[in-house]
Amino acid sequence: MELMERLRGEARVEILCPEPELLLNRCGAAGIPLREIRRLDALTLRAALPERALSALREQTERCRGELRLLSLRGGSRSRARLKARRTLLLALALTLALLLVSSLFVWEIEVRGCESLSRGQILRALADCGVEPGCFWPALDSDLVRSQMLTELPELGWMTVNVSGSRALVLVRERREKPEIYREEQAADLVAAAPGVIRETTVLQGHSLVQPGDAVLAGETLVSGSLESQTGSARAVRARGEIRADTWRELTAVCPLEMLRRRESGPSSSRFSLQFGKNRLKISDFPGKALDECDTIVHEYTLGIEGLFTLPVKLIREERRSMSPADTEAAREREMEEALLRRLEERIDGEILESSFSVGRTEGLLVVTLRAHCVENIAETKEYYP
Amino acid sequence: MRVKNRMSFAAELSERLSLPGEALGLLKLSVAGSHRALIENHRGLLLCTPERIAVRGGRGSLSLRGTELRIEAMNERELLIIGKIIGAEWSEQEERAWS
Repeated sequence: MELMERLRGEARVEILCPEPELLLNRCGAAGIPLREIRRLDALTLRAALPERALSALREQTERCRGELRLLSLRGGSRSRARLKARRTLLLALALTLALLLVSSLFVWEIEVRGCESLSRGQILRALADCGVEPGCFWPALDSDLVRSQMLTELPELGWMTVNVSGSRALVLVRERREKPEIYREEQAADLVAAAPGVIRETTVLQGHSLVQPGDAVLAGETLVSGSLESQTGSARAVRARGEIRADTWRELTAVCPLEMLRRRESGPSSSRFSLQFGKNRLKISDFPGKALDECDTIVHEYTLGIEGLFTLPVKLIREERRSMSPADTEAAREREMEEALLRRLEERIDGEILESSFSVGRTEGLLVVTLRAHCVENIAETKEYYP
Repeated sequence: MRVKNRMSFAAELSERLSLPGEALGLLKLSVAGSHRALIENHRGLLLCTPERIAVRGGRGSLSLRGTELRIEAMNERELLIIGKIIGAEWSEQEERAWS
């Protein structure tokens, strides 16, 4: 607001008047927007007003037999006159505005949201094939066409849309959901053992149980039969349902090369900066010191502009180089493999692990980690009669 | 006298119909903290000094007392006052407004 007042021009005045209240009332009635009115003494007032209302105030002051003294004049006509003299500055301003306007018609930043299994890179490559890439003229883009091309190119996508605001394209994607397994309720089936074990507890909801607690079963052995005998004659086939909990003993093995070196950060990091115009990169600074043999480079991109308003076609790139050295971490690898085996077993069984132990062996240049676990789990697995 | 009657009628009407008084042209004073006051529907400035600012309302006048008082902005109907406000007084007496 104050800035606008400044642009319009602001005058500060001192008024000497026999009846200051009368003058203020007349200014109010005449619509003269006086501000910051300060009474200095019985006859003197100081106030601020827009430059355009100065002549009206002068007129009112004269009518009240007063005297007006201009203290200062800021902005407005003076600033405009000063700007007129600086033509180069005006030209540069106009040129910058024009460039910003033209630049806002091109996409300079693409943001992808919603991808889970697909990587951002895959989506960006597919978008580039459809014509959506940094530097493309977005008014020429047909959102429906891009969507259909993208859905054809990436069958994993279920839905997508491209929203462009300023020079930023926001790509929202939703991946296709896998259809759940559908089975027919009337399809007759047995429950068979998915793993060998000793039955601990049986809960049969439908079908005829063939095992009792304490029985030992082998993998594939029928636990609950879907074939029910009928008193009227022929057997009736149903879909067996239930839960058979059994003690099982699982063994999982993981193998990896014995001599596997990993990289570890071993020194200070350094950075270099560059500017990227579209696909061209202009180097600003280089890495200090010699090039390192073993190093990792991490690229950070900073888009220049005001979010939601406009994005400049320039990106600041910071490449961070971290010196790395190989490190032998066999003990750490063992721990990682043990954790991975445990996670794998937990995912595989429908129950809990009562007891577990690991054994580690080194043979023929391989590190072998074996997990042995005593579990209690539901081993019932549906096996349809006529799959 | 006519003005006085009309204003008392407006006040009574506002009270009976639960209407906001300012909609019927009654003087309204809004104070934010002790440093900012807005007077709406005034009918003329009576006095403006750093210690006292008085305005005429429909019936009588309203006077704000304080220190370093100044009028931040004013127009025909509204007055924004800035400064350390100590108190406000309503007076039923008719005072002469400069107009």
